[in-house]
Order: sequence, then C-alpha cells, then structure tokens
Amino acid sequence: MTELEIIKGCIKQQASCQRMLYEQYAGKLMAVCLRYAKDPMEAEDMLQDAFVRIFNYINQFKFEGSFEGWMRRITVNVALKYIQKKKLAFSEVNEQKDSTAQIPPTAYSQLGEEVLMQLIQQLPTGYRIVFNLNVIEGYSHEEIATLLNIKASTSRSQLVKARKILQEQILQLQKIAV
Amino acid sequence: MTDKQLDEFFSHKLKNYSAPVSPDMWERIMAERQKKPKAFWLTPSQKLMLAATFFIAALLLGFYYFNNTSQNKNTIEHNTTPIYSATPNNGNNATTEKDNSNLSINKTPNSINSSNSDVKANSNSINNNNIKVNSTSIFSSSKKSQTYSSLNSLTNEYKTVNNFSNDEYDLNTSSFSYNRVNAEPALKNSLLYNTNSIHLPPLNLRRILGLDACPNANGAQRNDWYIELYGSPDYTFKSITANGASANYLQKKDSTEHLRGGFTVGARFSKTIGERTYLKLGIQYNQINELFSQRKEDQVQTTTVIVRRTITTPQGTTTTITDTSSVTQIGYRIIKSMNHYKNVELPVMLGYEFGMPDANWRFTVNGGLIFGLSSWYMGETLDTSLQVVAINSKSNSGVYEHSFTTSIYGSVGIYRRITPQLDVFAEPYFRYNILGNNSLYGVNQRFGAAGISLGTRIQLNGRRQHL
Repeated sequence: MTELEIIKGCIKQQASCQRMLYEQYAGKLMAVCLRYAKDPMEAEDMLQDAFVRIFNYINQFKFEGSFEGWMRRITVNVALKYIQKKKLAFSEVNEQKDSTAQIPPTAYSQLGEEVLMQLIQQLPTGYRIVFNLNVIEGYSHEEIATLLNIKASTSRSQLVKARKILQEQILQLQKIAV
Repeated sequence: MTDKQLDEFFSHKLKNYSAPVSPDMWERIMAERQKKPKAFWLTPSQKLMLAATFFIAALLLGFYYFNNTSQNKNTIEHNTTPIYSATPNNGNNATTEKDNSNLSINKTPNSINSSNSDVKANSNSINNNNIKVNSTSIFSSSKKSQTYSSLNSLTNEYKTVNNFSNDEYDLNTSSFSYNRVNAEPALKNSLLYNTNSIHLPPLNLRRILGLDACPNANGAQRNDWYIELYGSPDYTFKSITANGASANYLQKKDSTEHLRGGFTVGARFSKTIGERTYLKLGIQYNQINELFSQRKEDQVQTTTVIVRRTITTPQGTTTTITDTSSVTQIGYRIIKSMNHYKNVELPVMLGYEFGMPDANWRFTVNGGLIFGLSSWYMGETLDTSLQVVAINSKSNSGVYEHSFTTSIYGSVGIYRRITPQLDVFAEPYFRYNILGNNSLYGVNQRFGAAGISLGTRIQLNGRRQHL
C-alpha cells in the first residue's frame, strides 16, 4: 500500500490504514516528542495527542509537500503546547562568542543517536526547544520567535547557550572515554 | 568543529531517528479518540435532546402558570393595602349595614350598570368605613338588593377610576386611598387630578413580570400563543484573544480576515406568562460571512511569448521564423476567498410588553440566551506558521472547535397590528458570544452582531374579546 493510499484511507477513517500509518511513523514521532519532553512519560502523552490530532485533522492535508513533514509539524505544535502550559520563561543571554574549547570532529563520530538524545534531553528546557526547532526541525529564528512569542534575539542567544552546553558535555564524554 | 558542523551532525543523526514506542500506545490513542467529548461539547444527538428538554420545560412552565392562574381566578383574595376608603356622607348616603369585611369584586362597571346579580362579592355589604377595590376590578355591590345612593355616586366616581384605569391600563400598580368626606371636592374634579392620593407600591418583581396580574378589563388573563417568523441582516464584529497563540500570529490572522456581515432567519414560539411577559423559544439559522485576503510577496510569474513571422525572400521562398521569449514578473499576489460560519441556534428569551394589549402599536423589551446547536465552518485561515489552511469542517475535525457556543441577546421590539391575529414587527437587537470558539492554533474567537429583525407575529389562540 502506498503512502497516498494510506492517507486516503485515514481520511475515510479506516482503522487498518490508521494502524499502518501509526506503525510507519510512531517511532520517528516518538523521537520528536522525546527531544521536547522532560521525561519519557510526557513524551508518550505528547505522542498520543499528536496521533489523535493527526487522525482527526488528516482531511486538512492538502497533498502539498511531505506528509511526514506535516505530521512532524503537528507533533511539534503539540509538544510546544505542552511546554507552554508550564509557562516557560526564556532568560535573555548575551550573545557572545563561544569560549568552549573546540572539539575535534573525531570525537563526534563515536556518539550514537541514543547518546545525542540524552545530551539534548539534559539541556535546560528553553535551550532544548530552541535547539530542536532550529537545528533539527529547521525553523528560522524569526519563525521560532513567532511560535514561542519571544524575540528572535532571544532565540539566537538560547541557541548559542545550547551549543555551548552540548560541546561541554561532549568534551566530558570524551574525557571519560579516554 | 564549528557550530555549523555541530548542527549538521545533530541534524543528520537525529532527523530520522526512531525511538521505541510503548506497546500499549496504539490502544491509548484509540481510547483517547473514542473518549466522549468534553462536558461542554455536545454531540448532535445530545444537542437535540437538550433542545427538546428546553422546549418541554417551556411548555410545562407555561402550562403551570396557565393552571395556576385559572385556579386562582375565582378565589383571588385582595387583602392588600386598602385602595379606597370612604366614610358616610350626610348628603346622598343611604348606606345600611356596617361590616368589617372587605369587598372584593371581579366585575367591570359596565356590568354593574346592567345587572347587579352578576356581581361577585366576597362580602355581603359595603363597608361604610372601608371598601377595598383592587386592580381593574372596579366596583362592587352587595347581594342584598338595596339601593345605595352613595353606591351610585361611588359608581360614578369609580367610573372615573375606570377611565383612569383605561388610560393607565394597570391600576393595580397604583393604590388609591382617600377619605371620602375630605376628598369629595377632589372627586368632583375627577380622581385623575388627585395626585396626592396616589401611592406607589413597593417594587414587586412578580408584578413587574406580570405573574400576579389580575384578570384584565377584557376578561380572563392572557393565555396567548404566537408564532413569530423573522429575518435579519446582521452587522457582525468579532474579537480574537490569544489562548496560547503569539501576538504576531494574532496580528497576522486579524489582518487577513475581514467580516462581511451576515444574516439570521428563524421562527420562535411566544407564550404569554401573566399579562405582559412572554417566554420565547425557537430555532434560527445564522450565517456570518468573512473575507479572507492574504497578500503574498515575492510572487514570480513567468509568461512565455511566442511570435511567428513569415518572411518571403525576393526569390519567392517563404520562411517562418518563430521567436520565443519569456517575461518574468516579480510582485505580490492577493489570495481571496470567502469564509462562512454557519450556525443553527436555539434562542430562549423573556420579553416584556408595553402598551395596551389591544392597541395598534406595542413595544417589547427582550433578553435571553442563544444556544448553539450545530455549526459548519467553511473557508480558509492561517496556521501558526502563517500558511493558508482550510477551516472547513462538518464534524469536530476543524480549525475551530465546535464548542457549545452561547450568546447573550437583547432587543427592543416594535409591533404593529395588521389584523387581530396578525402583527408585523421590527426588532433591533444586539448579541454577543460569551464563550467563543477556540482554534487549533491557540486563538479564542468571539462573534457579535447587531441587526434589525423584521417579521410577522401570528396569534395561534387566545383571541381577545373586545369591549
């Protein structure tokens, strides 16, 4: 069954197609949720809501662009809604040049996806969200500012700080490995 | 490694990363989807049941009041403030018995003049010292066939009262109290001018609502049923508030949506409760139109121009030359579409009527609630990434949640009698959605409208008896 047929089946609310869609994308969307959630339980709640919305609103998909992208966008919106309920505060950080020691590229190659996920999850919420939105999802700082109702400069500064922390943590991992 | 390399590394590694999912996640999703709507959202069948409940409740209420007033019709006790007190006068008085009982009569003066036997009295004689007359029941007589000269004079005077009552219609809202001896000169001048003797009663909500209304001069208490058919052009407005959305999104959304009025058509039953109060219940269709207009910058349009020329050489050979060129224009494009918000609603309201019931012109004030029963939204709007998305939905799967919307309603009605059973009316009104609709994108949208309902009112029963 092609993706198009699955989508059309889902629009008709066919349970078998919904199940196929779920099997195909649940893992990827779970990964998205894990990057935004504070713990796996919250990620599961996000995933559940995301799929409910995807099934409810799939008739609005216009068959323009990637269907996976559309689902990711819904998932990210659900995740942001969860986070915004907690009254997330973004502290202003002065944009300054990163003073962290440069890590040799070889240090990265050892890192698996699970480790990277853990590194992201350990970031403070504000840094984590901006890093995810900008680096993984590909939103611009202006778009992030719109989504989170913050200034674009705040988004930039959060990203700088996130990168700094990630590099520090990677360095620590490298030291432990050595 | 630079920032860019770091970003690319994370992006590359995690973009397609798939995490393990809890085995019971599918069941959880299905269970969540099958959950009943939130308490305040109703399925169509629940909405129908609610409407039916309202309707039945209204019928029972009307029936209850009708029964109550019918039972009380012949046993009304008028033990309120003495309205008329008189002392014997040396002149024409031939009053006989003294009796401390009060006099209460349900008869018009016209009947008194024609036949005293028709008069219903709670006491057997006129109390020289104290006669109580209430509301539009104007005068009394005793069961004994005595001739009271004072009665005649009083009758005349009460006719004056009756005239007054016709002018003011509802005499029971005022009390008359005067000493006959002292007031005789005043009576000669007519009670109308004896303003010192008029005392306003304390505010009584039941009376204001007409629940305690006594039988009127025309006969029994009103028990009228009407059906009102109406239509209205609406001037609409809306307010949008953030419910999680950013200020920038609100601004963009607001700038792309422009209301273009609407209309309402409907029918409602109207039932009198008491003498002047109406309970109105009906069903109406309301549509709000909105122009969605988005300006898209940096739009590129390429036009290909093909020019064919035929050249004939001096030698006589003909050659066809085709020139192809393309013109690229960069500008903006305005995308326009019309949004429609369609609602089926249940108006429930109370009305209060001013003016004589049999008059040609009457006025009402109305207030109540309009409950949304069902809705259909069609058109386009912006999502949070400022992309155009369809809002069309016939079920719960729309941009706007189909919550159980409720609006407050207030109006002033002007009625003109055409025939005894038919009125036409104009009713300027105002309504405002007190709950609003939440959108997927964190916006709460409330509509309001002002308009003039134009329609007809047909009396279904309770034809009035004219004097």
